[in-house]
Amino acid sequence: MTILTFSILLLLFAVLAGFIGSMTGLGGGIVIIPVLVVLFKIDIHFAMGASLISVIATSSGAAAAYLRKGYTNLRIGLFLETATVVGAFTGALLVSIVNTTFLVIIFSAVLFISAYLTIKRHEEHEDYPVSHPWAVTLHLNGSYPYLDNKKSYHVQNAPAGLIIMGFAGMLSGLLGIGSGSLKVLAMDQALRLPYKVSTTTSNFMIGITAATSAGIYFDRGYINPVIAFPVMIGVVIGSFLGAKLIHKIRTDWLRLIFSIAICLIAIEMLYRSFTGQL
Amino acid sequence: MIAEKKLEFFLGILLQTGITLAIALVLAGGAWFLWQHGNDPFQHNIIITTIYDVDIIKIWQEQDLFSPVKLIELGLLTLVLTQIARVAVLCVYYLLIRDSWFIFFSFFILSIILYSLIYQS
Repeated sequence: MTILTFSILLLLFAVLAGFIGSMTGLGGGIVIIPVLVVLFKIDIHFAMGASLISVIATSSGAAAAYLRKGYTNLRIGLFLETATVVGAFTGALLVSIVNTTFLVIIFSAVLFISAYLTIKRHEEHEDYPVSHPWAVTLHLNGSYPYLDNKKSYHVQNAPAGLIIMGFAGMLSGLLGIGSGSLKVLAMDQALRLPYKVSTTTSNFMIGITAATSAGIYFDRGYINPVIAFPVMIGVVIGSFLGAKLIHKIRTDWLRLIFSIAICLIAIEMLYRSFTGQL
Repeated sequence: MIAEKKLEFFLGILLQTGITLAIALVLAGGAWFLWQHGNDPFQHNIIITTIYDVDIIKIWQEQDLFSPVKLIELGLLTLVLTQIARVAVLCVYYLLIRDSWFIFFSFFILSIILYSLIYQS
């Protein structure tokens, strides 16, 4: 096999990973890391480095579009980001200390949780008339486009949201993923934000979180340009295609199928790790 | 409210420009790399284990700046710098509107990201 063949294969699988990640809401990082580790036998640290770069690229592209639509709450994003960047920095520092088997266990756990969150039915919240005191002081409450008007929302449980975000940041730094699912979970379940505000604000935050970890990954040499370039380009193309087609294809069955696939991949990674193949 | 709308619009443009530039650099560097080394045999043990020291300061000091790998690295750094730029824009915005809490939050985040970029183990 030549370097060209390897790069093209990497690109094609990255396109697929980006496409699946975008269509199912799993995210490119969650999908690309197992592909690189299991199929291409790439060391998990380099896989995480390539994933981190892809996550920054794809989330920033989406964030740019969502900002213009008016769903993103910049103030909430920035407020929560204070905890997320601390978590991400800490997580990235821990990567070189933590045992590979432990990394795989954590990653597999995240795969299982992501699979569950992907197929979990989402229900919109009731309207809350009262906000958490921090939300009042920091002017975190906002409104979003709803039908032809604007609908207001009030932020709840701000401290709980901060704690979960710190944890999400740590996972992002430790595993080279965006932790978008966990961020959305924090905003949806703790802060009780409308779902579209949660997802778009999460998208806004992911790039900043991942960029924090990227600095440490650069220093450790985990971002291999030869691996990162086809992965980044492929995931961006795949995500773009996924975003274009998401409204034309029924995603319910897709989410179920890939949630099952992700669980199987998690089991495969755990098996390989415990048998010394990773 | 109008100022925040303009900020959101500007941040959108900034992100789009930064990502486009980063992708262009990575694509150019990648294509150049493949043109030079595409027919070389893929040596798994070398490609997969080579450590590349991507450093925002050293990248400009090295002799072989004009090389495919360095171009890719520049693209990757541009990606990260775009994120830093958008936080910096938020710092300036909150300074201008004198929102003390968010001045603190934005500068705190900026300092963490900048430190991570210059961090040396």
